[in-house]
Amino acid sequence: MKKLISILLVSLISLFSFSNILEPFEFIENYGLINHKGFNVFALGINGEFDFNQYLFTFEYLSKLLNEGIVDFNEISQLVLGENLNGSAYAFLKIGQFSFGPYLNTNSVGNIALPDEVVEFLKNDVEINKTYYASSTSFISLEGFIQAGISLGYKDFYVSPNVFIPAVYVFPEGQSFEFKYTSSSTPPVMTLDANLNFKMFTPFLSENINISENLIGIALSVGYASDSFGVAVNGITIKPSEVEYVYDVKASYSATYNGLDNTFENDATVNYLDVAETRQISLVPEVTGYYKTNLFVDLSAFFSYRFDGKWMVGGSLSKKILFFTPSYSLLYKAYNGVYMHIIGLESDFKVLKFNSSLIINSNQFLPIGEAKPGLGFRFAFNLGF
Amino acid sequence: MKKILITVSFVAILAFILGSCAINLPDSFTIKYSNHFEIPLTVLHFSFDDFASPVISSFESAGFQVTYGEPVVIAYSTSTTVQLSDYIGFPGFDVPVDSTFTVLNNETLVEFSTIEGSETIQNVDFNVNFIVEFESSTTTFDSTLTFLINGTPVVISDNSSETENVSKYLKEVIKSGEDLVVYSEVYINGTVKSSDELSMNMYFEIPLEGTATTDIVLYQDTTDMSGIRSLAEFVDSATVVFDNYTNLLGFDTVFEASDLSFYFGSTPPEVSISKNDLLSLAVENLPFSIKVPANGYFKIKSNSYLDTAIYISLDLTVATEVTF
Repeated sequence: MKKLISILLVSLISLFSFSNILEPFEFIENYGLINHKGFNVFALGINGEFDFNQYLFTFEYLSKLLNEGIVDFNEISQLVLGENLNGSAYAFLKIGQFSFGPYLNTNSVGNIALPDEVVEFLKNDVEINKTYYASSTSFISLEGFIQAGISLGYKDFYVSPNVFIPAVYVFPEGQSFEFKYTSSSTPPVMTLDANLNFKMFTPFLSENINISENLIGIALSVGYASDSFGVAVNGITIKPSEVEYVYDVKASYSATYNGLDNTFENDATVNYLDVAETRQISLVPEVTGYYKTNLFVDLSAFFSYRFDGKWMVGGSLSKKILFFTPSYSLLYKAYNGVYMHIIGLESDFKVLKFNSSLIINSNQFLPIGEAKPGLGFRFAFNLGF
Repeated sequence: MKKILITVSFVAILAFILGSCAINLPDSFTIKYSNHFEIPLTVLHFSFDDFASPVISSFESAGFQVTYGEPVVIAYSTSTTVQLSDYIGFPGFDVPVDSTFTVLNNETLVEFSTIEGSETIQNVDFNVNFIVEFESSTTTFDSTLTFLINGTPVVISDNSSETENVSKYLKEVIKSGEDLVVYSEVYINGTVKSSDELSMNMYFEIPLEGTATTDIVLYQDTTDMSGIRSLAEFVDSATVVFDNYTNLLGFDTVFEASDLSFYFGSTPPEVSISKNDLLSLAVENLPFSIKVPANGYFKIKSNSYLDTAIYISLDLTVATEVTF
């Protein structure tokens, strides 16, 4: 009987409580959301997200590819791939109006985009006595950080000092990608040259991983989070991470055919050399915000704006029914023109919450037809009381 | 109830979407790529002057008149006057004669064995013109000239100026490759005055153009084309293209490689070949030759060359299967 009453009680609470599908470390970051996962005293949580977007193939062709098992390089639209990886774990303790939330967060955002001229070379007729050339000085971006901090909250306000190290970081400056193919009938010579060069840092390539004091950066997040409204400023770097070496990554391929002496020579090299070079890496400050309201369903709108110009905006609708909260979210990442459709289902058993979502992204609003779709998933697991 | 229905509906839709995504992947994938490429192969520079110049020089060295034109013309002419007083001792009056006198005693006009490229010349049906003229118009006696070309007699008999075209015999000599040797004698029957004279003129002209009687190989060699073998495996179809084409040879030429042949005319050839043809070309020692085909037109002239750059225009498809 007690069990039945307990279940009914939990059900009633669940039935009328405000659903919260926003997680503190996912597409918008607001550490104050730890306070609003429905736990009053203590909680442990982990969540992860991975999604990739691609401009290689259209939805129409991908369907054909999966049905017929033919990967046709001629169907490539663009040589563009992107990824987003996020994983975090946190604890939460609330005492009165105060809350404490230590957390560990890793994330990476990467994108590689080779010039369209390379695809055109691959797909179109390659004529003699012509030169095909493509170059780029910003073809790769990759930022991955490991952050550890604590969210110190008072009522709905919080401040979160944290330390961070760059797990992998590709410097935006000094990149070069060059592709050149030229051929001539007189003299009968054909040459192909492809080179890429960029500088990156990661502590994980060295034989002895050494996390020096200089490598550890210090940052701060502050914000406000309530059930219906939140705003946060993240990535306020107090002390940047200072690296003492960078990897100079170089890859090249060259091939030459000379019909005069009937010779073919080719050479491929890939190497990364650590170069003593002191550089500072800071987090890019960003502002995030959300607003939630309840009509027939729960509605939310959210955005984030990074101070390097990257922004995204989105919204969601969800409805808590008994123990489950089905949801649909739409997110537009303006910096790479990707729409994300997120279909999620949160199971809320009060002391145990599990939220999983399927992500379908696309360069067009609808991920069908000529759109280039990508996939991803999210999950969040929370335990507390 | 309504909420449960909404939930069930949503879960069903979600299950449908997820189920649609869970596509039954094939056991293997074929990775495929196809495109059209134009790939340079080699350049071909064939200078016919390397052949023609020694031929012309050797004719010149042999004392022939050479006229540079299209074609080069070789000419020879000679005039022989027979002073009968050189043969007959005149006693101071007219003498009755019934006798034969040798005018040219087996003179070699063309020593073909010393002419460069005579093997080639031998195989061309030149449009030659060989005229022998016998003049005895100032005499009153009967005279007959017998002219032998390499032993073949031609008889010219008249008291007046007479010519004979002996071109067909010259053709035969050229064809045989023998030296051109002529002999002539004159038979006289009548009363001869001391002032009487006879004359014999020979003129021949060989325009160095004509029809090849058999294949004439002007150049042959081998080349290594094995480098395109790996490429040839993926070719659907190909065309051999002759770019930057300049043909100043002025005669029929055929380029042969393996079992393929291309005619070099005034415009560049463009020849479609099959995958098997391309594979037959993609060998280490590919024989190739430039020749004048039998019954083809041939001529010798100066500044005679052919320049071209050869490339292949091909459609290729690469496909490889990856099995899981």
